[in-house]
Amino acid sequence: MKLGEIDVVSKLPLDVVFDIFARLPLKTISQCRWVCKRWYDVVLHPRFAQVHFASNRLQCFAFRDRYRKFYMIDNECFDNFETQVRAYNLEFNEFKENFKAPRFVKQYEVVGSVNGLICFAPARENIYQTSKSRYYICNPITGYYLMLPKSPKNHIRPIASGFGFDSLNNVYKVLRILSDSSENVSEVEVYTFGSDCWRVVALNVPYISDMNLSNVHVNNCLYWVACTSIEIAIIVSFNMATEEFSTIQLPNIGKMSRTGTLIVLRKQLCLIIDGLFDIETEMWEMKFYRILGSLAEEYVIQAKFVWEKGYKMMELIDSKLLLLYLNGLLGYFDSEKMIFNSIQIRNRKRNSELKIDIPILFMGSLFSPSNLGYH
Amino acid sequence: MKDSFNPSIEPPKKTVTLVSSDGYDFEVEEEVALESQVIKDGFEDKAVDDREYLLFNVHSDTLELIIKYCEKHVSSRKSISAAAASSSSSNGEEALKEWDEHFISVDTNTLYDILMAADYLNIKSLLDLAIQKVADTIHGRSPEQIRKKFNIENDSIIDPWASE
Repeated sequence: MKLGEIDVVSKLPLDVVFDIFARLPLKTISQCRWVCKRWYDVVLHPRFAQVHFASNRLQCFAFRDRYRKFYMIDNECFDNFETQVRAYNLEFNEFKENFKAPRFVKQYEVVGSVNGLICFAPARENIYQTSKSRYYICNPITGYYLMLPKSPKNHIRPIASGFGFDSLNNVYKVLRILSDSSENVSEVEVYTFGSDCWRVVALNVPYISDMNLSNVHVNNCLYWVACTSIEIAIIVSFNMATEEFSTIQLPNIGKMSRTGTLIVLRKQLCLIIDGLFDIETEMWEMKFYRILGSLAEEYVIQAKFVWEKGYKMMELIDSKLLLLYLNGLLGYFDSEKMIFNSIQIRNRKRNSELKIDIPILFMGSLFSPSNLGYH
Repeated sequence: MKDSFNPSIEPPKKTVTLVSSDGYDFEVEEEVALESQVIKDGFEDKAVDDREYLLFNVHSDTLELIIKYCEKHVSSRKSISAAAASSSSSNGEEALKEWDEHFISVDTNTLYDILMAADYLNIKSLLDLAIQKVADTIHGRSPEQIRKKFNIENDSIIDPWASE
């Protein structure tokens, strides 16, 4: 230890300290909590979480591997377009106990992520646990988590769930969409963080029983792709503030299929339609449509490359996307140059290659789930 | 007489006096002092013969470094724009970056003094340079290594991921 050296960080004005921490990768910031009490307070300062989230590109990737362990790759790797990355272990407290079920059944599913928080729900297929498991919301960077109280209708398995943030009122909400297909009735209940009960907000929403599970959160709304009775894709939206559903009819934009995927590009909702291009070589064509109110216009990006249905993607910067194939292959896709570069993921400790089972693309943050509704 | 002032004639270099916390006077060119946003704000309102600034928070040792930094940046900016005007190739920006890097490679105490002074005087580029230096020092280090580097006492926050 050098004599006379001082703790630079602790004595500086708070805004300067925020600026220092904001330049570090999420993993390092998270670790800085354990340096001393003062650093702990700085890292978990609600204003720092806001400053940090607003001023950084924070695309992160969490996933579960084949052995049911969670890993994470933080924003620094994707910022630098690294193709050899090391994932570190994630530990979620009480997670296993909450989603406890026989090994052969699916235990949980990912509802979605907002502001760096990931929401897990009991798997719909798992009949063993519906009465016991609760919704689990965590920040994988800090490890802090929250479990929602059970709904009085917990015995009814939802056909879909949603997790969103109402930026007008600064509250997070979880939706459960319950449907009885035999009687053709549906019901939507919402839990607002900070409250202690589930509320029914809508009954018999059109198309809600035929929604694609994956949803997208943008413009204070949640969006799903649904399918009409004549196999035409339609977009269902839920406004987080007004708690109203609406549908967006799409004009005829070529061959539609119910597997259309929603993503956010340049802060706008986009729909990707997979048109069959050539079966023999499994070459598919993606077309991007920007959704503007009830209109859809063809987007600048058009990609033709080998891919499979069921991929996920996330915008990195400019025309570069982070793309995930159904088989677990992750890589960078440059939609201008049409180049795909795969990413090799290794275990940080053992240096062994990791295979992705459940992928979660999200924007990392330092928001704490227990402060929800109050920051 | 003010009326006889002729703007076409370049006036002699104006200077400003900066007084450090320990009472030393530093006479610097106006444009060097104006690197500080704090001095720049309201500079015009100050009488020409009253351009003296008492910097109660900046020690002479630090002030000397700050002035060195500002002088370098003022002169580099001039030579870079001169090179651009004559469209001759120049590696001025690269060289300045290198100079900055060398400048900020100081011990932790000095770095702290520079940070405080740059924040107080609001010299954005210098504050940015110093902040990046601290961030680079923290980057990739474990909590234990950080404590050692910055001589921080471990005041018993338990790291639940200590085994990682």
